[in-house]
Formats: sequence, C-alpha cells, structure tokens
Amino acid sequence: MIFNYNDFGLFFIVIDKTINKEIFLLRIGVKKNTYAEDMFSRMYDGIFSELINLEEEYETYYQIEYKSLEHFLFHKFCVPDDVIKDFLKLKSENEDYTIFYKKNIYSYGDYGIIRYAFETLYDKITNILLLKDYEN
Amino acid sequence: MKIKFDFVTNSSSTSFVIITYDDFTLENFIESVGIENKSIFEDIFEDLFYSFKQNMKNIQGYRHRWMKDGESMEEFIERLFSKETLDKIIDAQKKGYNVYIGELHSDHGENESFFCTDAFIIDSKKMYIDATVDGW
Repeated sequence: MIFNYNDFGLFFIVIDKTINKEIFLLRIGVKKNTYAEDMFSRMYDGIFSELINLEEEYETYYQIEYKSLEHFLFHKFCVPDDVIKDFLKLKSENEDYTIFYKKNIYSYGDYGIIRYAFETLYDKITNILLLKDYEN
Repeated sequence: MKIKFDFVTNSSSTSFVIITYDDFTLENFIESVGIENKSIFEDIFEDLFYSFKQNMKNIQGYRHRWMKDGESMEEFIERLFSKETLDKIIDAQKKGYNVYIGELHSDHGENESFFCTDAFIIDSKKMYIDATVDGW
C-alpha cells in the first residue's frame, strides 16, 4: 500500500525489502533487451529513486526521540492514525514488509511512468513490490 | 466570449512508424515487445497492439497533418524521427515490406495515454516500431 499527502508531498510505501530489480523484472515476465524490459526497468528505477528505508532511519537516528515506529510516523511525519494502523497490519503479514518513504513521488523526473505505475497499474505493481501473487 | 464552468481537459497525440517484416498479429507483437505470455501485464501490451492496429495507415501517399508545405515524406520522417529510421524505411520498401504511419492519442484510455507519452523503439525480426517522438 502507498500513502502520499498529495502529488508534491511525502510519499510512503510498504515494500518487501528483499526485492531487487532482477526479481521485479522476473515477476513481471520481461525478456532481455526488449521494450518491455526497458519500460519496467525505468519503472523500477522511478519507484526506488531516492527511496529511504524509514524503519532503518528510525532505528538508527530517531529511536531515542520517539518511543515507537507509530509515534515516529505520527509525530514526525503526521501520517494519519488509520494509515499507520493499515501499515502495521500489512507489516504483520511478513517480517520483510518494510515502510519506505521519499520526499516526492516524482523525484525520478519521469512523471508519466510513476503515475502509470501507481494509478493504472496500482494493484499489480503493489502486489509485485510485496512479492505477492496477483489475483485478478 | 465563452466561459466553461466544468472540467477543462487537454488531449494530445504523438506519431509512430511501423515496418512489418511479418504479419502484424497480436502474437508477433507480444513476442516483439518482450513480455512473457503468462505475464499479468500482457493485457497492457495487447491494448497497445490494438491502438497501433486501429491507427496505422499505409505510408504510401499518406499526408501527415504535421508535414510542412512542400515537405516530402522522407524529409518529414528524418525531421520527426531519425535518419536511421528513414534508412530502415527505404530499405524495407525496396524489399517489399509494408510501412505504416499513425498517431497514438492521450484521450483513448489509460494504457494508450501512457504509451502516447513514452518514447520507445520496438526492434525485432518481425517488426520495427519507432515511437520515439512520443516523449512529452
């Protein structure tokens, strides 16, 4: 799942932290040196560009200041309570599910491919980022 | 003066050329684009195939609306696409292959809208598609 205040605000996403570009492309099913590979490679780069592991950041720098990850999300980033609950519920499904964030969803510069990923292809892409099987 | 009170939308279109070395079928297109048949994303490329199929016109005698006065099709192709694509077209025509030209539209559904804004080349043994003009 994703959360962003608006197009120009902070963007949060829960991802299986074990994913990498090779797994992403394999799950999508692209062939080498083709347009499909190029397109989904750019999509991966766009999603992961400037993406920060929020939990790692919390544990490294903010644990002393905020008593829990929930407090950190609520007080530091003003993430709404119901969104935090949804994040934690999703995280409880798999120990590799991790919250990441970036300052702007379009930081990669390619507005079109990110919009396509998180609007038109939202269910399919978020399932792949969680390494879940997609059920239509 | 007219005043419009509801949504104001902006649509656009971008051009492509297609050289076919084999039948322009969905099967050949999916193979050329490089997506696995079992992929959950096959449908978006199927949509792209039908967008091309609906909009492709034989280049022979075709007058593109973006052509300048007195401009030949060869000059137009080189100006809009590239010398490389022009050479491929000339070579294909000499060998008797079919060459098409057309446009994708941003207001013809979410998938065509994305591909309309993406710049790409599909180059396989069965077809060559230059849609590099499509970058916005």
